[in-house]
Amino acid sequence: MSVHVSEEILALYVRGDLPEHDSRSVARHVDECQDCKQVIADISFSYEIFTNSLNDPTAAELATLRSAVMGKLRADAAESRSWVWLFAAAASVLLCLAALIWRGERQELPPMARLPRPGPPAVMPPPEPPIATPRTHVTQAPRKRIEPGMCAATLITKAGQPAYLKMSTSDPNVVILWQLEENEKVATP
Amino acid sequence: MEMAVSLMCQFTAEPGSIRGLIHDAKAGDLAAFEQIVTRYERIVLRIARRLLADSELARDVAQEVFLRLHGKLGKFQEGKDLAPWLYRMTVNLCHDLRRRSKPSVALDLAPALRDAALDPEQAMELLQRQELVAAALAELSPREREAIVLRDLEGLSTAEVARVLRSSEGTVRSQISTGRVKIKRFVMAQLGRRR
Ligand SMILES: [Zn+2]
Repeated sequence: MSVHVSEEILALYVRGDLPEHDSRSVARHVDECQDCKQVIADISFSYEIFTNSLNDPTAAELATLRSAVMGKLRADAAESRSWVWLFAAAASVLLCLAALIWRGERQELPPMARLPRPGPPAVMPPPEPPIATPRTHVTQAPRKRIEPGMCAATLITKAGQPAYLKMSTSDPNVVILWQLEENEKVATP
Repeated sequence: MEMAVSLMCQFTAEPGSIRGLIHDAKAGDLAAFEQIVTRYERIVLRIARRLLADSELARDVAQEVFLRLHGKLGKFQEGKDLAPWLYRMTVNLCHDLRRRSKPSVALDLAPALRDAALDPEQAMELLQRQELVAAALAELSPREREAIVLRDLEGLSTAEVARVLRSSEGTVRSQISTGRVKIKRFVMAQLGRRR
């Protein structure tokens, strides 16, 4: 009689988990060995008790599980749908507000603000007329029709006085007088 | 056990019919997903109960398995069998839960006994046998227990168990062998039939 087969090998042999070659040699030993036959009988007995004593889940338990899973998924789906609606509503309100603000800004703009701005000279009061009336020499540029935003300029020179550039704008109430530099005085003829 | 094996055969034999359900469920059809749950709920809940020995925790794990399945449906090929993924996810979630909580000793057997139409004597015998099995399972290490539950209670082959546990066949065979010997010794000791 050869050495007994270990319990671990027999535990695999019982359920056909040994490779074919090993299984054949164990079978040859077990055929002639009562001790190993008893071990196999005990393993089989405990295996039967083990596998046949545990019940499957009942229909009620399965229904509870399914209901919990589907309830959660349906709640999640409803929540995500409500978020989509909420987002869409918020986006619509924001768009309406933006449109209202934009229209309001356009209406508040003054009409002049949309015209091209004239040049930098400051608006000055007309100069004091001289006491003695000297001979006035006026050089006038050819008249042109003043388009909105354009200026018509006239150079006004008096002997011994600083020269002025008189500019008319498209607004008849606004006249710009631009005093030239001191050294640009008109020489007395 | 036989039911477990027949369920396995059913899963592997009918990948075509699950294809349409996965397709519809991917498109947001919750009724199709409910049919998928119906198809696999028994096997998932049973494994979780045998690994955790607690009906409430097992139901929580099974629920989480199906919610994760729903979240990952987009990654599944429509013709592919879902069972291997479900086995692996169930085992992994039970493994994580057991690592975080204290090990339980006995299975929660009350629901099975409540719903079984047994007379008091039969119920007592079943309860004793179930307590015996639960205590025997508690003797095993987590990996031995997973290997034994999948191989001996669910009827997977050693190669399938190795794939689910992401282990080698040799390691799984060793775990199954050690587990069976521990169970045999425990049962024999409890029943007074020592070798
Ligand atoms: Zn022997």
